[in-house]
Amino acid sequence: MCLDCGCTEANAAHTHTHAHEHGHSHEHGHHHHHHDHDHAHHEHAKSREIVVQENILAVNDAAAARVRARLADAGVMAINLISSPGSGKTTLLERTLESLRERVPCAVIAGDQRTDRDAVRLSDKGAPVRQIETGDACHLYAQQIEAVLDDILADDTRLLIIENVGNLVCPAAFDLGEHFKVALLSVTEGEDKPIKYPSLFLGAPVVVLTKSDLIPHLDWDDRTARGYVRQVRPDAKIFELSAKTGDGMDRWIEYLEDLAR
Amino acid sequence: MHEMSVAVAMIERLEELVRQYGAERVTDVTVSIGAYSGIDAEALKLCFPVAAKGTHADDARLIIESVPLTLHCRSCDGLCRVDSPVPLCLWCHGADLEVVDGTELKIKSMEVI
Repeated sequence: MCLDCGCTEANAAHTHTHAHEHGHSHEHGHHHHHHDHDHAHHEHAKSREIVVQENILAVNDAAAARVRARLADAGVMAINLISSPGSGKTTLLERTLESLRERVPCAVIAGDQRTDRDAVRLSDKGAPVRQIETGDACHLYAQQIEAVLDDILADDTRLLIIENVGNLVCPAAFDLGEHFKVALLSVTEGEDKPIKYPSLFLGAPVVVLTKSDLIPHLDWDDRTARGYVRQVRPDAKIFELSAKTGDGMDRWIEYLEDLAR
Repeated sequence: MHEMSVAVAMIERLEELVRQYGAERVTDVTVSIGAYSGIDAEALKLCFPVAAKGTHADDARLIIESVPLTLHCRSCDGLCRVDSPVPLCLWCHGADLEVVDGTELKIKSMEVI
């Protein structure tokens, strides 16, 4: 049922026709938004309101749903790694793939605006890697994942890791068909990123604090950082690690192994 | 600046609906944007007319309704409408909150002739 007007047409966009008589102020019976019509703008004698109630990113979301179904069929778990550029996504991925090698068959899709440098870095870790160059786009779309999914999934793949374009804002709005988003925050970025960029952290049940080996050189306050993460997402699972020294990696790797089981 | 992708996706859907309903053109579009949808309303207002150029939604008026963040408490079944995420339910101080509103990005309706 249309929640706005009580129509019983399921989901589909439907119309409510009503003639406008000009020269008086009016309210639409079916409008629940309150705007005054600018009559100079409306030269129409008869207009129709079409109730749409659809996600703007419906095409992306439909592709994401197909990706999710395909992953479910194949028994593959997928995570979508999102962070600012330079927070250590690729280094974390290198160490992760090395650790999971021979234990959990992985596949990787890496998004960047230009170059296949990430794919090259990840190419000798025993997992198939596909680079998607997004050009000027600041995020991956679900359609891009769908297009390469069959190529990248092997019969035994258990974990698909999508490395999104480095950006804390835009990738948060696009469902890629992953099971969940993982937000990375490097300790050099400051503790307050979760409250400055809450859309991402609100949608990420898992947060990885990276580059923990640098903490002695910084004013990073761990409690403050975790407090900000929890302020936005009280149930967030937080990992703190250094892909460089390996500190904290065990817990992360165990978590991924459990996930892919 | 993914608002341009959003504007383009909107226009594509509006064009489909115009065809589907045999309309001449779109005069108004109402969208609802969650406070935590990650979309900046001002940026979308800039992008929309650009994406609409030469389509059936050229010169259409974009009406943006903001939807505040609303959390549902699974413990007391209360709803908290908040400006920014809160860790505890405003009613019972429980921590079992889920987002129910405020992340959407929707075309609500369009007015066509």
